[in-house]
Amino acid sequence: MVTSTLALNRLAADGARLTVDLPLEAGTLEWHGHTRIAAPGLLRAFSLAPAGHSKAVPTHIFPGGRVETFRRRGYDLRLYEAVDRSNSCLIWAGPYHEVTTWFNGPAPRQSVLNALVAAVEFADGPEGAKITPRVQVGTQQFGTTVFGINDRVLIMALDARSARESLPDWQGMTRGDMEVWKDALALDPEQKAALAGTPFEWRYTFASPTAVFTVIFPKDGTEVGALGDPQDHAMVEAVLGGVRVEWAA
Amino acid sequence: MSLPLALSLLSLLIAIFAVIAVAAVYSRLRALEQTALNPDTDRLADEDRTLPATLLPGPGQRATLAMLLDGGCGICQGVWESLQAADLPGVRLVGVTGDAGAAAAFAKGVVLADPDLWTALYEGYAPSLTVIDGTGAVLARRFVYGDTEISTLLSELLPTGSSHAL
Repeated sequence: MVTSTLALNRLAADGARLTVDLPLEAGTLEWHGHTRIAAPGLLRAFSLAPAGHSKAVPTHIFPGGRVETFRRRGYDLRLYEAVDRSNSCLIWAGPYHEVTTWFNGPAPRQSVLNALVAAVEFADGPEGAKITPRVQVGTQQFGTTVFGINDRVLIMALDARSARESLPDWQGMTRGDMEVWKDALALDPEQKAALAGTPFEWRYTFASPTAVFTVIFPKDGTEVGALGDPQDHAMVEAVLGGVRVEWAA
Repeated sequence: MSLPLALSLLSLLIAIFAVIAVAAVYSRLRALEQTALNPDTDRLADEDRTLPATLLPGPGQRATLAMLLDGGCGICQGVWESLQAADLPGVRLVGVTGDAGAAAAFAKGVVLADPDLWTALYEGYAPSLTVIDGTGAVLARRFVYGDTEISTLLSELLPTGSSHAL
Protein backbone atom coordinates (compact mmCIF):
# COMPACT_ATOMS: atom_id res chain seq x y z
CA MET A 1 0.00 0.00 0.00
CA VAL A 2 1.37 3.40 -0.97
CA THR A 3 0.71 6.16 1.54
CA SER A 4 1.71 9.81 1.30
CA THR A 5 4.08 10.81 4.04
CA LEU A 6 5.13 14.10 5.51
CA ALA A 7 8.87 14.61 6.05
CA LEU A 8 9.55 16.52 9.28
CA ASN A 9 12.79 17.87 10.66
CA ARG A 10 13.11 17.98 14.43
CA LEU A 11 15.84 18.88 16.88
CA ALA A 12 16.48 16.64 19.90
CA ALA A 13 17.30 18.19 23.28
CA ASP A 14 21.02 17.46 22.85
CA GLY A 15 21.11 19.16 19.44
CA ALA A 16 20.86 16.01 17.31
CA ARG A 17 18.85 16.34 14.09
CA LEU A 18 15.97 13.98 13.40
CA THR A 19 14.11 13.37 10.20
CA VAL A 20 10.68 11.86 10.69
CA ASP A 21 8.62 10.46 7.80
CA LEU A 22 5.07 10.46 9.02
CA PRO A 23 2.04 9.21 7.04
CA LEU A 24 -0.63 11.92 6.75
CA GLU A 25 -3.16 9.60 8.41
CA ALA A 26 -1.37 10.09 11.74
CA GLY A 27 -2.41 13.76 11.85
CA THR A 28 -0.42 16.58 13.44
CA LEU A 29 1.82 15.61 16.32
CA GLU A 30 2.77 17.71 19.32
CA TRP A 31 6.48 17.32 20.07
CA HIS A 32 7.89 16.76 23.52
CA GLY A 33 11.26 15.58 24.73
CA HIS A 34 13.41 14.53 27.62
CA THR A 35 17.10 14.62 28.46
CA ARG A 36 19.46 14.26 31.42
CA ILE A 37 22.71 16.03 32.20
CA ALA A 38 25.30 14.68 34.65
CA ALA A 39 28.30 16.77 35.69
CA PRO A 40 30.26 17.13 38.95
CA GLY A 41 27.73 18.58 41.39
CA LEU A 42 24.90 18.55 38.87
CA LEU A 43 22.52 15.74 37.99
CA ARG A 44 19.30 16.94 36.44
CA ALA A 45 16.51 15.72 34.21
CA PHE A 46 14.92 18.17 31.77
CA SER A 47 11.60 17.79 29.99
CA LEU A 48 10.75 19.71 26.83
CA ALA A 49 7.29 20.80 25.74
CA PRO A 50 5.74 23.26 23.28
CA ALA A 51 5.55 26.86 24.57
CA GLY A 52 2.58 27.63 26.78
CA HIS A 53 2.48 24.30 28.62
CA SER A 54 3.69 25.96 31.82
CA LYS A 55 0.59 28.20 31.87
CA ALA A 56 -1.06 25.49 33.98
CA VAL A 57 1.65 25.60 36.67
CA PRO A 58 0.51 28.70 38.63
CA THR A 59 -3.20 27.84 38.39
CA HIS A 60 -3.39 24.04 38.58
CA ILE A 61 -0.10 22.57 39.79
CA PHE A 62 1.05 25.16 42.35
CA PRO A 63 -2.11 27.28 42.95
CA GLY A 64 -1.25 30.35 44.96
CA GLY A 65 2.45 29.58 44.71
CA ARG A 66 5.39 31.84 44.08
CA VAL A 67 6.52 32.82 40.58
CA GLU A 68 9.69 34.66 39.68
CA THR A 69 10.44 35.62 36.08
CA PHE A 70 13.85 36.60 34.80
CA ARG A 71 14.17 38.01 31.31
CA ARG A 72 16.98 36.76 29.11
CA ARG A 73 17.76 37.47 25.49
CA GLY A 74 15.50 35.12 23.53
CA TYR A 75 13.84 33.42 26.50
CA ASP A 76 12.54 33.85 30.06
CA LEU A 77 13.66 31.95 33.15
CA ARG A 78 10.71 31.21 35.43
CA LEU A 79 10.98 29.81 38.91
CA TYR A 80 7.79 28.33 40.36
CA GLU A 81 7.36 27.19 43.95
CA ALA A 82 4.35 25.61 45.64
CA VAL A 83 2.74 27.60 48.44
CA ASP A 84 3.76 24.92 51.00
CA ARG A 85 7.23 24.69 49.40
CA SER A 86 6.75 20.97 48.77
CA ASN A 87 7.83 21.22 45.14
CA SER A 88 9.31 23.72 42.73
CA CYS A 89 10.55 23.92 39.17
CA LEU A 90 12.68 26.08 36.93
CA ILE A 91 11.56 26.72 33.35
CA TRP A 92 13.51 28.03 30.38
CA ALA A 93 10.62 29.49 28.34
CA GLY A 94 11.51 30.28 24.74
CA PRO A 95 9.14 31.57 22.06
CA TYR A 96 8.53 28.08 20.62
CA HIS A 97 9.36 25.56 23.34
CA GLU A 98 10.02 25.36 27.04
CA VAL A 99 12.32 23.21 29.15
CA THR A 100 11.38 22.30 32.72
CA THR A 101 13.41 20.81 35.53
CA TRP A 102 11.72 19.77 38.80
CA PHE A 103 13.38 20.06 42.20
CA ASN A 104 10.98 17.81 44.21
CA GLY A 105 11.33 20.12 47.20
CA PRO A 106 11.69 23.80 48.04
CA ALA A 107 13.42 25.98 45.44
CA PRO A 108 17.20 25.68 45.88
CA ARG A 109 19.39 28.49 47.24
CA GLN A 110 20.28 31.37 44.93
CA SER A 111 23.85 30.12 44.46
CA VAL A 112 22.65 26.65 43.42
CA LEU A 113 20.23 28.16 40.91
CA ASN A 114 22.99 30.40 39.56
CA ALA A 115 25.25 27.39 39.12
CA LEU A 116 22.48 25.48 37.32
CA VAL A 117 21.70 28.37 35.00
CA ALA A 118 25.40 28.84 34.30
CA ALA A 119 25.98 25.13 33.62
CA VAL A 120 23.52 24.74 30.75
CA GLU A 121 22.90 26.52 27.49
CA PHE A 122 19.39 26.94 26.08
CA ALA A 123 18.54 27.65 22.44
CA ASP A 124 15.06 27.63 20.94
CA GLY A 125 13.80 27.43 17.37
CA PRO A 126 10.71 26.33 15.46
CA GLU A 127 12.11 22.81 14.99
CA GLY A 128 12.93 22.17 18.62
CA ALA A 129 14.67 23.47 21.71
CA LYS A 130 18.18 22.52 22.73
CA ILE A 131 19.52 22.29 26.28
CA THR A 132 23.17 21.33 26.46
CA PRO A 133 25.95 21.52 29.07
CA ARG A 134 28.14 24.60 28.66
CA VAL A 135 31.27 22.74 29.75
CA GLN A 136 31.86 19.47 27.90
CA VAL A 137 34.73 18.12 30.05
CA GLY A 138 33.54 15.65 32.68
CA THR A 139 29.93 16.12 31.61
CA GLN A 140 27.54 13.57 30.16
CA GLN A 141 24.23 14.12 28.45
CA PHE A 142 22.17 10.95 28.16
CA GLY A 143 18.66 9.56 27.88
CA THR A 144 17.71 12.06 25.18
CA THR A 145 14.27 11.11 23.87
CA VAL A 146 11.90 12.75 21.41
CA PHE A 147 8.15 12.17 21.73
CA GLY A 148 5.51 12.90 19.11
CA ILE A 149 2.03 12.75 20.61
CA ASN A 150 -1.56 13.21 19.55
CA ASP A 151 -4.80 11.39 20.37
CA ARG A 152 -4.22 8.70 17.74
CA VAL A 153 -0.55 7.85 17.95
CA LEU A 154 2.48 8.14 20.21
CA ILE A 155 6.00 7.94 18.78
CA MET A 156 9.02 7.74 21.07
CA ALA A 157 12.44 7.99 19.39
CA LEU A 158 15.95 7.40 20.74
CA ASP A 159 19.43 7.45 19.27
CA ALA A 160 20.26 3.92 18.06
CA ARG A 161 23.68 4.02 19.74
CA SER A 162 22.20 4.53 23.19
CA ALA A 163 19.18 2.24 22.74
CA ARG A 164 20.97 -0.85 21.45
CA GLU A 165 20.81 -2.58 24.83
CA SER A 166 17.07 -2.12 25.15
CA LEU A 167 16.12 -3.98 21.96
CA PRO A 168 14.47 -7.40 22.19
CA ASP A 169 16.86 -10.33 21.82
CA TRP A 170 14.66 -12.26 19.40
CA GLN A 171 14.58 -11.55 15.69
CA GLY A 172 11.96 -9.14 14.43
CA MET A 173 10.25 -8.68 11.10
CA THR A 174 12.07 -6.69 8.42
CA ARG A 175 10.62 -3.63 6.70
CA GLY A 176 13.10 -2.30 4.13
CA ASP A 177 16.33 -1.75 6.06
CA MET A 178 14.49 -1.63 9.40
CA GLU A 179 13.67 -4.35 11.89
CA VAL A 180 10.28 -4.33 13.66
CA TRP A 181 9.25 -6.08 16.87
CA LYS A 182 5.84 -6.17 18.47
CA ASP A 183 5.41 -6.59 22.15
CA ALA A 184 2.27 -6.66 24.31
CA LEU A 185 1.45 -3.42 26.14
CA ALA A 186 1.15 -3.62 29.92
CA LEU A 187 -2.61 -3.14 30.16
CA ASP A 188 -5.07 -3.84 32.95
CA PRO A 189 -7.08 -7.08 32.50
CA GLU A 190 -10.26 -5.28 31.43
CA GLN A 191 -8.48 -3.32 28.68
CA LYS A 192 -6.49 -6.38 27.68
CA ALA A 193 -9.68 -8.37 27.10
CA ALA A 194 -11.33 -5.53 25.19
CA LEU A 195 -8.35 -4.91 22.92
CA ALA A 196 -7.47 -8.59 22.31
CA GLY A 197 -6.97 -9.33 18.65
CA THR A 198 -6.71 -5.67 17.58
CA PRO A 199 -3.56 -3.75 16.59
CA PHE A 200 -4.05 -1.50 19.65
CA GLU A 201 -2.82 -4.11 22.13
CA TRP A 202 0.77 -3.96 20.88
CA ARG A 203 3.79 -1.74 21.13
CA TYR A 204 5.72 -1.64 17.84
CA THR A 205 9.46 -1.12 18.19
CA PHE A 206 11.38 -0.17 15.04
CA ALA A 207 15.14 -0.14 14.60
CA SER A 208 16.30 1.99 11.67
CA PRO A 209 20.04 2.29 10.93
CA THR A 210 20.34 5.39 13.15
CA ALA A 211 17.32 5.40 15.49
CA VAL A 212 15.19 3.15 17.66
CA PHE A 213 11.58 4.23 17.89
CA THR A 214 8.44 2.86 19.44
CA VAL A 215 4.94 3.43 18.08
CA ILE A 216 1.82 3.01 20.22
CA PHE A 217 -1.81 3.62 19.26
CA PRO A 218 -3.50 4.63 22.51
CA LYS A 219 -7.09 3.41 22.66
CA ASP A 220 -9.68 2.91 25.37
CA GLY A 221 -11.14 -0.46 24.37
CA THR A 222 -13.98 -0.29 26.89
CA GLU A 223 -15.57 2.73 25.18
CA VAL A 224 -18.69 1.91 23.18
CA GLY A 225 -17.88 1.56 19.48
CA ALA A 226 -14.20 2.27 20.08
CA LEU A 227 -13.01 -0.61 17.95
CA GLY A 228 -15.63 -0.62 15.22
CA ASP A 229 -14.22 2.19 13.07
CA PRO A 230 -12.53 0.75 9.95
CA GLN A 231 -10.72 4.08 9.45
CA ASP A 232 -8.76 3.47 12.64
CA HIS A 233 -7.45 0.21 11.29
CA ALA A 234 -6.52 1.89 7.99
CA MET A 235 -4.68 4.57 9.97
CA VAL A 236 -2.73 1.95 11.94
CA GLU A 237 -1.79 0.16 8.76
CA ALA A 238 -0.69 3.39 7.05
CA VAL A 239 1.38 4.54 10.03
CA LEU A 240 3.10 1.18 10.53
CA GLY A 241 3.80 0.99 6.80
CA GLY A 242 5.16 4.51 6.36
CA VAL A 243 6.67 5.78 9.61
CA ARG A 244 10.43 6.20 9.72
CA VAL A 245 12.84 8.09 12.00
CA GLU A 246 16.49 8.84 11.28
CA TRP A 247 18.78 10.32 13.90
CA ALA A 248 21.81 12.36 12.82
CA ALA A 249 24.19 13.38 15.61
CA MET B 1 76.37 26.27 69.26
CA SER B 2 75.59 22.77 70.42
CA LEU B 3 74.05 20.17 68.12
CA PRO B 4 70.70 19.90 70.00
CA LEU B 5 70.23 23.67 69.89
CA ALA B 6 70.96 23.72 66.14
CA LEU B 7 68.46 20.92 65.51
CA SER B 8 65.71 22.58 67.51
CA LEU B 9 66.26 25.92 65.72
CA LEU B 10 66.10 24.10 62.38
CA SER B 11 62.83 22.35 63.28
CA LEU B 12 61.36 25.65 64.47
CA LEU B 13 62.24 27.21 61.10
CA ILE B 14 60.59 24.30 59.25
CA ALA B 15 57.48 24.63 61.42
CA ILE B 16 57.19 28.37 60.69
CA PHE B 17 57.65 27.72 56.97
CA ALA B 18 54.89 25.07 57.04
CA VAL B 19 52.46 27.48 58.75
CA ILE B 20 53.20 30.21 56.16
CA ALA B 21 52.75 27.73 53.28
CA VAL B 22 49.38 26.52 54.60
CA ALA B 23 48.18 30.11 55.04
CA ALA B 24 49.30 31.03 51.51
CA VAL B 25 47.55 28.04 49.92
CA TYR B 26 44.40 28.80 51.95
CA SER B 27 44.29 32.43 50.82
CA ARG B 28 44.85 31.41 47.17
CA LEU B 29 41.95 28.94 47.45
CA ARG B 30 39.69 31.60 48.98
CA ALA B 31 40.54 33.98 46.13
CA LEU B 32 39.81 31.26 43.57
CA GLU B 33 36.48 30.45 45.22
CA GLN B 34 35.45 34.09 44.95
CA THR B 35 36.41 34.41 41.28
CA ALA B 36 36.82 31.44 38.92
CA LEU B 37 34.86 28.91 40.97
CA ASN B 38 32.11 31.38 41.83
CA PRO B 39 28.73 30.16 40.52
CA ASP B 40 27.50 33.76 40.50
CA THR B 41 29.19 34.35 37.15
CA ASP B 42 25.83 33.71 35.47
CA ARG B 43 23.16 35.02 37.78
CA LEU B 44 19.53 34.07 37.92
CA ALA B 45 18.53 37.62 37.16
CA ASP B 46 17.20 39.84 34.40
CA GLU B 47 19.62 40.52 31.62
CA ASP B 48 20.23 44.27 31.33
CA ARG B 49 19.77 45.50 27.81
CA THR B 50 19.89 49.02 26.46
CA LEU B 51 18.36 49.76 23.08
CA PRO B 52 19.27 52.49 20.56
CA ALA B 53 18.11 56.07 21.17
CA THR B 54 15.72 55.87 18.18
CA LEU B 55 13.39 53.86 20.40
CA LEU B 56 13.38 56.21 23.41
CA PRO B 57 10.00 57.65 24.46
CA GLY B 58 9.35 61.26 23.42
CA PRO B 59 9.21 64.21 25.86
CA GLY B 60 6.39 63.78 28.37
CA GLN B 61 5.96 60.10 27.60
CA ARG B 62 6.67 57.40 30.17
CA ALA B 63 7.62 54.49 27.91
CA THR B 64 7.93 53.19 24.38
CA LEU B 65 6.05 50.09 23.27
CA ALA B 66 8.01 48.66 20.35
CA MET B 67 6.48 45.90 18.28
CA LEU B 68 8.71 43.75 16.14
CA LEU B 69 6.87 43.23 12.84
CA ASP B 70 7.53 40.81 10.07
CA GLY B 71 6.01 40.96 6.60
CA GLY B 72 5.82 37.17 6.51
CA CYS B 73 3.99 36.63 9.78
CA GLY B 74 0.30 35.86 9.69
CA ILE B 75 -0.85 37.55 12.87
CA CYS B 76 1.30 40.74 12.77
CA GLN B 77 -1.28 42.78 10.87
CA GLY B 78 -4.07 41.94 13.31
CA VAL B 79 -1.96 42.56 16.40
CA TRP B 80 -0.66 45.88 15.00
CA GLU B 81 -4.20 47.07 14.30
CA SER B 82 -5.43 46.17 17.78
CA LEU B 83 -2.45 48.03 19.25
CA GLN B 84 -3.39 51.09 17.16
CA ALA B 85 -6.94 50.87 18.46
CA ALA B 86 -5.85 50.54 22.10
CA ASP B 87 -5.84 53.59 24.35
CA LEU B 88 -2.25 53.98 25.60
CA PRO B 89 -1.80 57.39 27.30
CA GLY B 90 1.81 58.54 27.59
CA VAL B 91 3.16 55.65 25.55
CA ARG B 92 5.00 55.93 22.26
CA LEU B 93 3.95 53.12 19.95
CA VAL B 94 6.51 52.10 17.35
CA GLY B 95 6.62 49.24 14.88
CA VAL B 96 10.00 47.93 13.73
CA THR B 97 10.61 45.99 10.52
CA GLY B 98 13.76 44.84 8.81
CA ASP B 99 13.11 46.33 5.38
CA ALA B 100 11.02 49.05 3.75
CA GLY B 101 8.97 46.56 1.73
CA ALA B 102 7.64 44.97 4.92
CA ALA B 103 7.00 48.41 6.47
CA ALA B 104 4.78 49.41 3.53
CA ALA B 105 2.38 46.57 4.41
CA PHE B 106 1.49 48.31 7.68
CA ALA B 107 -0.47 51.40 6.73
CA LYS B 108 -1.30 52.93 10.11
CA GLY B 109 1.01 54.32 12.78
CA VAL B 110 4.78 54.77 12.95
CA VAL B 111 6.72 51.88 11.43
CA LEU B 112 10.50 52.15 11.32
CA ALA B 113 12.33 50.12 8.68
CA ASP B 114 15.85 49.65 10.01
CA PRO B 115 17.85 46.41 9.90
CA ASP B 116 20.04 47.47 12.86
CA LEU B 117 17.03 48.19 15.06
CA TRP B 118 15.55 44.89 13.97
CA THR B 119 18.73 43.06 15.02
CA ALA B 120 18.75 44.88 18.36
CA LEU B 121 15.15 43.84 19.09
CA TYR B 122 14.93 40.41 17.45
CA GLU B 123 15.05 37.47 19.86
CA GLY B 124 14.30 34.60 17.52
CA TYR B 125 10.57 35.24 17.14
CA ALA B 126 8.17 37.77 15.64
CA PRO B 127 5.87 39.40 16.64
CA SER B 128 7.14 40.44 20.04
CA LEU B 129 6.41 43.47 22.22
CA THR B 130 9.14 45.33 24.12
CA VAL B 131 8.64 48.08 26.70
CA ILE B 132 11.49 50.59 26.86
CA ASP B 133 11.92 53.30 29.50
CA GLY B 134 13.42 56.79 29.20
CA THR B 135 17.00 55.54 29.52
CA GLY B 136 16.64 52.96 26.76
CA ALA B 137 16.55 50.03 29.21
CA VAL B 138 14.22 47.12 28.45
CA LEU B 139 11.50 46.84 31.11
CA ALA B 140 9.56 43.90 29.69
CA ARG B 141 9.37 41.74 26.63
CA ARG B 142 6.61 39.36 25.53
CA PHE B 143 6.16 37.05 22.56
CA VAL B 144 2.72 37.38 20.93
CA TYR B 145 0.89 34.32 19.62
CA GLY B 146 -2.31 33.86 17.67
CA ASP B 147 -4.33 33.19 20.84
CA THR B 148 -2.81 36.00 22.95
CA GLU B 149 -5.40 38.37 24.43
CA ILE B 150 -3.97 41.77 23.45
CA SER B 151 -5.88 43.85 26.01
CA THR B 152 -4.78 41.60 28.90
CA LEU B 153 -1.21 41.65 27.63
CA LEU B 154 -1.23 45.47 27.44
CA SER B 155 -2.61 45.84 30.96
CA GLU B 156 0.20 43.57 32.20
CA LEU B 157 2.90 45.39 30.23
CA LEU B 158 1.69 48.95 30.84
CA PRO B 159 -0.37 49.19 34.04
CA THR B 160 -2.29 52.45 33.78
CA GLY B 161 -2.48 53.14 37.53
CA SER B 162 1.21 53.69 38.15
CA SER B 163 3.53 56.23 36.59
CA HIS B 164 5.99 53.50 35.66
CA ALA B 165 5.55 50.56 33.36
CA LEU B 166 6.27 47.04 34.61
